[in-house]
Amino acid sequence: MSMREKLFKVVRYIALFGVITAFVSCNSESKNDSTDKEKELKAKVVQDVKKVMISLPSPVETSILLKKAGASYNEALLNPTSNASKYNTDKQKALNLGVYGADLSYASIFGQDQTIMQYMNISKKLAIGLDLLTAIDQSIIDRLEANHDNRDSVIRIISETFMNSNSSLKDDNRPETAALILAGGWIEGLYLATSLVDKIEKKDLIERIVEQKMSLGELKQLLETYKSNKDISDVLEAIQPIIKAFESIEIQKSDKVEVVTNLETKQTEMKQKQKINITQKQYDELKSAVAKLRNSIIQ
Amino acid sequence: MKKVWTVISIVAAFILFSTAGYGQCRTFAKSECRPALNPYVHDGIYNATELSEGESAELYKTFYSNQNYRIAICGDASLPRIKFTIMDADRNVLFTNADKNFARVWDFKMESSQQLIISIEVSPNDDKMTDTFARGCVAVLIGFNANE
Repeated sequence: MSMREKLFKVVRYIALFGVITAFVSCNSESKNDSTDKEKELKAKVVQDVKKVMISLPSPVETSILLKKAGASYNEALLNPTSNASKYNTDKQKALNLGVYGADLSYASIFGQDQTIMQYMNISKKLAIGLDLLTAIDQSIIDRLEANHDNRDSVIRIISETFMNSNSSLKDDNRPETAALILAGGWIEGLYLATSLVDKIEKKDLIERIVEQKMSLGELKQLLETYKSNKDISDVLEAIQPIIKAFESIEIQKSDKVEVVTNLETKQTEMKQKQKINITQKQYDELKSAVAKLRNSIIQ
Repeated sequence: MKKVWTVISIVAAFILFSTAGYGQCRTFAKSECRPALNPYVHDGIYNATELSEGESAELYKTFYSNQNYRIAICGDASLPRIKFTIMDADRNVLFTNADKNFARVWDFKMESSQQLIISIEVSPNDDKMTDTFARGCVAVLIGFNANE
């Protein structure tokens, strides 16, 4: 083979590699770059091709909402850290990283210093197992130890670890893993909430629980985006009993949202009345469906 | 043989620079956008994407009653101004920053929980002298008040 032929062969391989790399680098929301000639056409059609992002409530937000609604702290509800050694597959690791993240958030809102450190360390181990090496590094652990008596700082540090995890995964073109972590966190948040309430007379907490019907729609939408992935389609199937339990629970809204802005504080309030219709039987079915799924995840 | 290495170097450099944008978007969101949420606490969810002039994106999120929120929208310096519009689930417009001099942040509270749609659009640059389209990172971060 001549030098020229060798050169063409190498170039062909490089070109093939380049095409494959470019293909796998494109996530579900990105579009291909275009040539100059294509740009004009692209500009005309781009208005109709919107990128969509789904944002689930973070475990920190859910925990704060629960505490405000009167939730108490019960350590026995958390997934024991000893379970972590059982998680061998990426699906188990990702879902339970979400579960531990929700437990960590719950403990942090109630100022449980020792539990916070235990759950941050176990989250770090699972994150490393998912090749998320920089999501929870030693500096995060050190900062958490140094600020353990400042609840606001602890919440900000935990929020930063969530940002590190899901941004790394999305940028590394692993949105399915990010979705599994978010799903695990959402399910654990709902499990903690429903485990703290037996009777529907606890109106404030029941209202927060029923409102998860709205974010369940977002979770479903997020999972459907990646349902070609087997782990994601399994989770999508596993949440069906929860979807069914929520279907019969009704949230009524007044017709129109009234927008009122305070000119001094520049804060806007969106006013709309809401009424929740739920029976004890419906709640019991929901609670049971949530517990069943959550316990299957942490096994 | 020297030519082969030259070609390999050029292709490697192309791949390196074409994928570097993803990491830059994350760094941009952390360093440029998250501080705009202060004193609110970031919810920890990373919503960012690359957009070109004239492109738009939508973010779907449930916001909860009696919780103070701040939405911060940040665009790369190379992009023209970013318009954002908040709509309810029926796509009724509740707020647009076009009425507020294209402000980057918006503080609000909900009387009842509901899903909102945050639509972001990179304005087309009508004054530009070339036919190239600016492209860059746009981040949508959400914060809440943890001390109420």
